[in-house]
Amino acid sequence: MPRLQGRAVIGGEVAAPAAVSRVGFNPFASFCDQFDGGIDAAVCGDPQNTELFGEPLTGRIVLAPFCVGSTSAGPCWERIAELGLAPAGLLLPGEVDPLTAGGLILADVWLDTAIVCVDRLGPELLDRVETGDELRVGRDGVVTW
Amino acid sequence: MDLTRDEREVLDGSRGEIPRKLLLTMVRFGEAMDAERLVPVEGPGHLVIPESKPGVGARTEFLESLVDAGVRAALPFTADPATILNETLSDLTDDQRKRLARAYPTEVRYREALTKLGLRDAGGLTCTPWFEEVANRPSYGQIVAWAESSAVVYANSVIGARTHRNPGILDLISNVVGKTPLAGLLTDEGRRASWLVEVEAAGPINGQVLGYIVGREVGAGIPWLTGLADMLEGGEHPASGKFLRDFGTNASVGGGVGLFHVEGVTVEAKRYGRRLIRDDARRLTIDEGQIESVGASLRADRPVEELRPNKVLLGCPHLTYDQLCAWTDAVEGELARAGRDRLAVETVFVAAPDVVSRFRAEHPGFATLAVAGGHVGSFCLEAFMQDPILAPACVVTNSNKLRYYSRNVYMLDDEALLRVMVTGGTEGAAAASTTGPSGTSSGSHA
Repeated sequence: MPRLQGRAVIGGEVAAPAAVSRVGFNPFASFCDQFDGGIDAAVCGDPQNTELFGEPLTGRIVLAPFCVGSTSAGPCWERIAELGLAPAGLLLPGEVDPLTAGGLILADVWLDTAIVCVDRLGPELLDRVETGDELRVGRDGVVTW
Repeated sequence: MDLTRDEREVLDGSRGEIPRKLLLTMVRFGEAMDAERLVPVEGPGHLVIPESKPGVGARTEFLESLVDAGVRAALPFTADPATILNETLSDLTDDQRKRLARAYPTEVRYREALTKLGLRDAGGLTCTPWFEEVANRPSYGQIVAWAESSAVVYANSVIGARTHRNPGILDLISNVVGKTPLAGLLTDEGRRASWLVEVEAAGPINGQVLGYIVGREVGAGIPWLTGLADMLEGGEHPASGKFLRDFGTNASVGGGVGLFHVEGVTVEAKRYGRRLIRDDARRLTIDEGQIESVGASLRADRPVEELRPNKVLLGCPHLTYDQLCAWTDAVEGELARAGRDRLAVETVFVAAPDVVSRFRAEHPGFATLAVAGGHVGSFCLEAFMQDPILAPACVVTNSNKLRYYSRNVYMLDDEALLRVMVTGGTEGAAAASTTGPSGTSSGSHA
């Protein structure tokens, strides 16, 4: 069974299908059309992300080389978590950026919603995982599929 | 992370649940960045969460819970532009106003809570807090907790202050806790350049285009740029400040740049020289052809006659006082040349409230502009365009940031914008309007 070890930024155990972006994932552009809620699942609304545009993200594990976007990322992650529409997790090959880390920590501490995040998984992460692969993330930052 | 005894007591909950969660947020933020410890915030903050809109601002109940717990920032902070709720745009319909009020049901409570938490005043609602009229300008080396990408990159790069690219809400929490993690851009090592970018272009360079290219290439890296010192006269050229603002804003738009150095120009580059470049810095060369082709790709892909824009929006980020004056003078001149007294297309200029107050008091063009149908305001153009209740069908601007974050927004150079404002853009170019007032037209570095 393939296995990668990273650092658990937001710890937790989760098993879900992957949604893989090979370009930077922009949370605000992906979710900003869905802040009013009233939907069962959030889909990626970022037209510049041709791989994920239109893909459902709620409950899935998003993989991306890094996250991009503005400092609005904090309220964005918190809102999507508040609506119950957040991805189950986020996996990154390198370091999590402060904007993403901060947004996920806000959701965890203030809404008690853990969007599991593992970073430092190495560049092979995006070579080896495809959209739809069933991933399992451990509390210790181990990812298997 | 090393914690003080006082911090451990707060985390134990002995000071209450709200202080515990506030500090826990900062500690976990620091751990994610491998911070050594938390350090005091030394200057006033700048926040990116001025409005109550869900997903854009904080939750109103969250702010009120902090107020109820007696939390307040030690130093008054500024914040990004306010909503459009109190603006008097002439074409805003009653229906739109009603829908807006419904979209911001807690706005009054939100502003009250933010004020109690330390918001300075309404004059401080701008994305350019360091302008002299606003006067939230940190000093060199001062540690602050700012958000708003364009403000963060300017504070770090041009002023030499030290701030993370704080996400919204974390910006507030850092300032009410009064601490921020010692890591990344707050450390000497974390401010060294990870990219050496050689700019090979003979002519004047558009700062927006160059910044956008660099951001796309380096992502969240720290670029060290060469080849610009002569053009910017070591930072002494009158247009240097605008170039650096444009460059930084677009480097953060194209990638996630929070700090850049320009050899022989920016403050730390002058002070420390090439010692600031990391040994393992990656190399990148950008030539004139690349700047020209990317610049062309950002501009509108069809003629104005086809676009038929119904609004001109200028001021993303907010305009300086000098830019407001220059645009007003140019509009007056163009109206006179065209023999008109009214603008053909509604034109909106936005700047910090304190800048607008100065403009109203000191420049006669304010009244002229009002009579001609122009509007000078202080709201956020980006938020305006992203609001489905407001967004016009077709907007033209000279801001790549506004274009990037919005739909139905097209970039034109300043001369073309002036023609659109005055004639709708469907008449030929006025022979005299060869130089754009803001200098953001392609090929200019002003």
